[in-house]
This record gives sequence, C-alpha cells and structure tokens, in this order.
Amino acid sequence: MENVPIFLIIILALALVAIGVLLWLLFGAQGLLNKPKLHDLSIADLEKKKAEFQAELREQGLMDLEKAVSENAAFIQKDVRRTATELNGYMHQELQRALDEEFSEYHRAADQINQLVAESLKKVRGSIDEQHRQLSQQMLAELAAEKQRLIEQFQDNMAEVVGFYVKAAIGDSLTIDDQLDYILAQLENNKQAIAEDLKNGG
Amino acid sequence: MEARRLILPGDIVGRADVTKVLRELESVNDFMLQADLRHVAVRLPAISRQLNSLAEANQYDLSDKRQRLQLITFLNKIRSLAPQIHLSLASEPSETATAKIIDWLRRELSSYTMLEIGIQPSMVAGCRIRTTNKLFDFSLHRQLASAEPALRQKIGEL
Repeated sequence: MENVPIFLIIILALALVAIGVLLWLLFGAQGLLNKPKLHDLSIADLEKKKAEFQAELREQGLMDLEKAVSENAAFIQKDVRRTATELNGYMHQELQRALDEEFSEYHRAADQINQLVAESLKKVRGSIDEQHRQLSQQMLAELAAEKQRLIEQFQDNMAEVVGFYVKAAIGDSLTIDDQLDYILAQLENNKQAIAEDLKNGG
Repeated sequence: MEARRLILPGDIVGRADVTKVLRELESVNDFMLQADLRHVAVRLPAISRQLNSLAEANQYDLSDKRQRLQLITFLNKIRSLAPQIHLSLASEPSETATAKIIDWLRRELSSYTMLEIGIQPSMVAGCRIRTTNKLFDFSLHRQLASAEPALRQKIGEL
C-alpha cells in the first residue's frame, strides 16, 4: 500500500465517481422523467405539491443555514479566539508600553526630584555650615572679649579681689588686737607727719 | 587750758564721749544747784563710769560746785579745741585695743587727742588714719594695691 503511487489512488477514485454518476443517470433520472406533468395535476394537487415543495425548501434552507451557521460559528469562534488572543497581546503590549512610558516618566521625574532635593539639601547644608562657621567665630570672638573683659576687670580690681579672698580666708580670726602691734608701729613710723598735721590743723 | 593741767581718762575717747559726759556733768551740776538753792542736803546722784573716771583721774570732788564748773569748762574746751583723729579699722576693736591706741595718741601726739573710730571691712586689715589735712593709709587693701604690679607680673608668668 505504501508502495502504490498516490496518483493511482486518485485515478481509481475518479473512476468510481464516474461509475456512480453513470448509474445515477441511468436509474435516478428515469424516475424524474416518469414524474407527472404540471398541467396534468389538479389545483389541489398543485397546492399540495406547492406546500411540499415549500416545506422541502424550508427544510433544505434550514439545513443549509444550520450548516452554514455551524461552519461559520467555528470560524467565528476561531476568529474570536484569535482576535481575543491578538487583542489580549495587543492590550498587553500597549499596556506594557504605556506602563513603561509612565514608569520611565516617573523615574525621570523622580530623578529630577532627587536631584532638586540633593541640590536643595546641599544648599541648606552649605547655609548651615556657613551659619555654624559664623556662629563659631562670633562665639569665639565674644568668648575672647568676655575673657579679656574679665581679665581687665580682675586686673582693675585685683587689690579688692585679693583683699576679698584674704578676708574670706582669714575670716574673723584676724582681730584688731592681733593687728595692734602693726597699727601702733605704723603710727610710730608716721608720728612726726601726724603731729605736724595736727599742729597745723589745730 | 587751766592752770592745773587736767587729765582726760582713756575711756573718754572721742567728742561723742566728751559731749555725753559734759551733758551728764551739767545735769549733775543743775541738780546740785537746785538742791543748794532749796537748802536741801542731797547726795551726789549716781554717775556714769566715764564721768567717775574723769573725776578720779583729776582727783575732783563733784560735790564741789567750783570743781564741777572747772570740769565743765574743761570739757567744753576739749570738745571745741582738742585735735581730732579719725581711725578706720576693718572690724570693731576691743576696749583694750581702743585703750592702747588712745593711750599712744595722747602720750605721743597730744594729751587731749580725740579719736573717732570707723569700721571699713573692705580694708581687710590694718588701719587708715585721717587727720585735719592728711590721710595715712596703712591698710592691707592699699598694700595689695601697691603690690599690684608684682601680682600682675606673677600672674603673667603663669
């Protein structure tokens, strides 16, 4: 079978078809030729034939319609599926493209915002550094001025400061009795000057 | 002064004491005069320690009118004519210290020197003497001030 050429099979099939056609012409066409003529039929028969013919046509039409519908339905279903698949792919592609564009735009905007924020932060940091530097300089200057002022104040009032310290240190332990020898010695040392002033003043 | 040089005791220090004793003596004198006018024999009223010292130092009897008047005259002259010294100290002196100072002043300068004592805690120690025209500062505060350059130098070295 596998070694038989296919064209022989086709020729055999065509021969069978031709034999079938000849048989149909011989026996089938004979029946049609034997059918009664229209003008031989009565009105009622004509009506009846008409109804039968219409029913036959209707049935044939319905069958053809159903066949066509069923054949087309498969095609339509196939088309719909293919269309749906293509549409789905298209939608997916379009959505992906739109999303890509949006994401790209979003990333671009985000990059710009990041850049702006970075620049702004850099400016703020620079401003803060500058203020910090100025404040540090100002504080150092004020500290130096305050230190100098305290030193000058201490130097200007050094005797009072030391005196206050001595007084706080010795407290009431140094009485006039303890100082009496010193006081009398000072009076003795300046006796002449005091006496002269008393004499002149008196 | 009087022909007999009167003594001013050490517990009469300044013009305030003189004024107080003078007022007391005048009061005693008035009391005794009134009693004398009424011919009433009275005893000498109680007197202060300072007035008693004045009378004893000069061996005066305050019952005697003439001696009382001499003392009143003496005190009036002292109050108006005696030389005065103002002594500033860092704290209140004791009676002993005051007595020694007034004793030196009346022994070395004038027998009737009046002493006014003031307190200046800022002096820390020592004294400051003010006479009629001069100020003698022997306080520790002045000595510290005079030694300030040395202190500055020492601080500078640190």
